[in-house]
Amino acid sequence: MELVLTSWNGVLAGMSIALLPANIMLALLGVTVGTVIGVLPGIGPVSGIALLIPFTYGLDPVSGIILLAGIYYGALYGGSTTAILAGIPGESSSVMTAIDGHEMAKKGRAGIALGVSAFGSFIAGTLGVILLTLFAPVIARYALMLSAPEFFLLMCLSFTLVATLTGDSFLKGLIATVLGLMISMVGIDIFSGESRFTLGFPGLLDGIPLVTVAIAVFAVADVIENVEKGPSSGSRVSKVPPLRQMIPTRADWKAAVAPIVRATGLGFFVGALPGAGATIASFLSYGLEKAISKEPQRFGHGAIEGVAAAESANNAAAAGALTPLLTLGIPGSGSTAVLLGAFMLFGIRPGPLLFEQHPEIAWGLIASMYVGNVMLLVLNLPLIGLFMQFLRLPYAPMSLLILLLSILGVYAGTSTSFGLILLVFFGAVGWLLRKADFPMPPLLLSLVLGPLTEKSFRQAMAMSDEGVLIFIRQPISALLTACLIAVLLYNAYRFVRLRLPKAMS
Amino acid sequence: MHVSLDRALGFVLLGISGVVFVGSWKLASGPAGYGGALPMGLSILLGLLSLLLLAGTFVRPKRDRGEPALQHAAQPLAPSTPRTGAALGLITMLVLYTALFDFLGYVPTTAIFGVVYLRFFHGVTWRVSALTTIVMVGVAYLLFDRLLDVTLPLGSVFSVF
Repeated sequence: MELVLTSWNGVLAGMSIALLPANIMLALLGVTVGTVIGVLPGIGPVSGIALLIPFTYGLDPVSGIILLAGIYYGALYGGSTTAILAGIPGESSSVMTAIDGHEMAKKGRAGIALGVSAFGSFIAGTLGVILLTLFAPVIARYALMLSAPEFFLLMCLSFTLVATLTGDSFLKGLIATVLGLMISMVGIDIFSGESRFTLGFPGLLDGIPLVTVAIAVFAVADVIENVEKGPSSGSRVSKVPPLRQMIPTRADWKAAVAPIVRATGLGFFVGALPGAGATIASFLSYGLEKAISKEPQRFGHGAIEGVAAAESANNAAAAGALTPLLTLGIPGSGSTAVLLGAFMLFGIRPGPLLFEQHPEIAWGLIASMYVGNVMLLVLNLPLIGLFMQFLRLPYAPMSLLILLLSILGVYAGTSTSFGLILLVFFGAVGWLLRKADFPMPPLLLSLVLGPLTEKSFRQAMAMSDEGVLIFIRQPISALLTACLIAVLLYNAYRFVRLRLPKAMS
Repeated sequence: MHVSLDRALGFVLLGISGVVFVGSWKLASGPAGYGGALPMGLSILLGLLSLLLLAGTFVRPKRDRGEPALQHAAQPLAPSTPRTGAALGLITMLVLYTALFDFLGYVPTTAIFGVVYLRFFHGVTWRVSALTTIVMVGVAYLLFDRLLDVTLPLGSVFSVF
C-alpha cells in the first residue's frame, strides 16, 4: 500500500512537470517525429534518437528526455501504419503486424486493422506505463541492496542475454559485445589517470562518444548499406481509409480484447528482459495467440487477433524496457542504450538512486508517457493519411538529410573534425559488420555499459580477499553466476546440437 | 554467403585481440592495479571467439546461413543487385569530406558532397541535385549555426584572404 501511494504521489508530481506547456510541446514533437521515423522504413528509432540528441543540448534534462522518449515509443506506433497499408514493416517490431494487417488491408479491412492497432497500442502502452509506475520504485528499492560484484554479474548476464537474443548467431553477438566493451575502454583510466589504447591520438583521451558510434553504426551504415543495395523497386500502398472506418465494431472488440490484455502482460515482461525488446515480444505474443486459437489457420490470412497481439505487445514492451533502464541503469535494447547515453550526457546516471536523487526526471518521464500515449491515439488515426505521404519521399534526398544530420550532430557534440573521422570510421566498420550479420545492439549496449562494468569489476576485486571467488560468495552473486553459466551452457548446447551436425554433413 | 567476409573479419579481429593483449600487458603490470585485467581478459576472449569464427568458415557448409537477423533496421524497399563498389565509393567520399571539412569550410564541402552524392549515387539530375543540396545545406546551416549555436568552420583556406 505504501508503495502504491509512493507511485501515485510520484505520478502526480511527474504530471506537474509533464503538463508544463513546454514539455507538452516537446512530447508532441517527440511522438510526431517518432511516428514519422516509424513510418519510414529507411530509418529506425535508434538512428532517430541518436540523430536528435544534439537538438536537446540546450534543453533541461527532463525536457530532453521527454522529447527522446517520445521518439522511442512514437516510432513503435508509426511502424504499424506502414506494415498494414504497404506490407512493409516500418520497424522490425512491426514484422508480425504486417502479416495479418496487410492481409486485412487487401481484403478491404485496412481501417479496422489500423483502428485495432492504434487502440491496442494505446491500451497496452498505457497499461505498460501503469505496470512501470508500480514496479519501478519496488525494483529500485531492492536494487539498492546490490553491490559491485552483483552489478558486474548483472551486466555480464545482460550482455550474454542480448548476444543470445539479437541476431542469428550467438558467436557474432558475443564478438560485437566484446568489441563494444573494448571501445568503451579507450581513453583515460578513471582509476589511475593513465591513457589506454589511444594510439597517440589526443582526440581519443576523452574516450569514444556513444552518440558518435550510435549514429555511425545505425544511421551512416544504413545509408551505405542502402547505396550498396541500389535503387528500389517501389511498393504498393493501400488506400488510406476514412476515420469512421477505423473504429472497431463490437465484434472486432470482442475478438481483440483478450489478445490485447495477454499481449500487454507478455510484452511488458519480455520487454524488461535485456535483449528481448519489442520485436521478440511481438513474435512471442503472435505465436501465443496462434497457439491458443481455435482457428489457427486464420493467422496469416487477416486475423484481427494477430494484429492486436503483435501491436499491443510491442508497445507494452517499450514500457517494460524502460524498467531496467530506470531502476538498474541497464538498458535492454539499442534504443534504450542510446537513451541511457542521453541521460549520461545530461550528467544523470539512471539506476537505483534515480528515484531518490532525481525524482523529477524519473516521474516526469513516466508521466509524460501517459500523456504521450493519449497524444499518439488522438494524432495517429486522423493523421494517418498525412504520415503516409512521407512514404512517397524519394530515398535520395532523405539519405542526404540523414548524412547531413549525422555529420552536424557529431560535430555539434565534439566541435572537432576528429569526431567526423570517428563517424566515418565507425560507419564503415558498422557497414562491414552488418554485412557479415553481426548484430549492432550488443555493441551499443556494451559500449554504454562498459565503464560501469569495469568500475564494478575493479571495485569488486578491491573488496575481495579471495580474488574472483567474491562472485560466488553472496547468495545473489551466486544466483547471478549460475544464471550466467546456464545461458552460456544453453548456447554451447545449441551450437553442438544445431551447428555441428550441419558442419559434419 | 558471407564465408569470405567472415574469414577476413576473423583474421582482423584476431589481430585486434593481439594488439589489445600486448597493450593491456603494460597496464596490468603497472601502478593501475587491475587497470589492464579486464582489457586483457577481453582480448583473450576476442582471440578465442575469432578463432571460433575462423574455424566456422572452414567447416561450415555453404547452404547453412540461418535466418536473417531481426534487429537490423528495416530496409527501404526490395533490394536489387548489390553494388559494393558504390558503397566503397561513398566511404571514400566521406573520408574526403572529413579531410576537407576544416580546410574548405562547411558550406563548400557539403555543397560539393551533396551534389556528387545525389548525382552519382542516386542518378538524380544535375539541376535537382544542385537545388536539393542548396536547400539542405542552407537549412542545416541556419539550424545548427544560428539556432543551436554550433560554430561551423568557415574554411582555413579563406582565412588568408
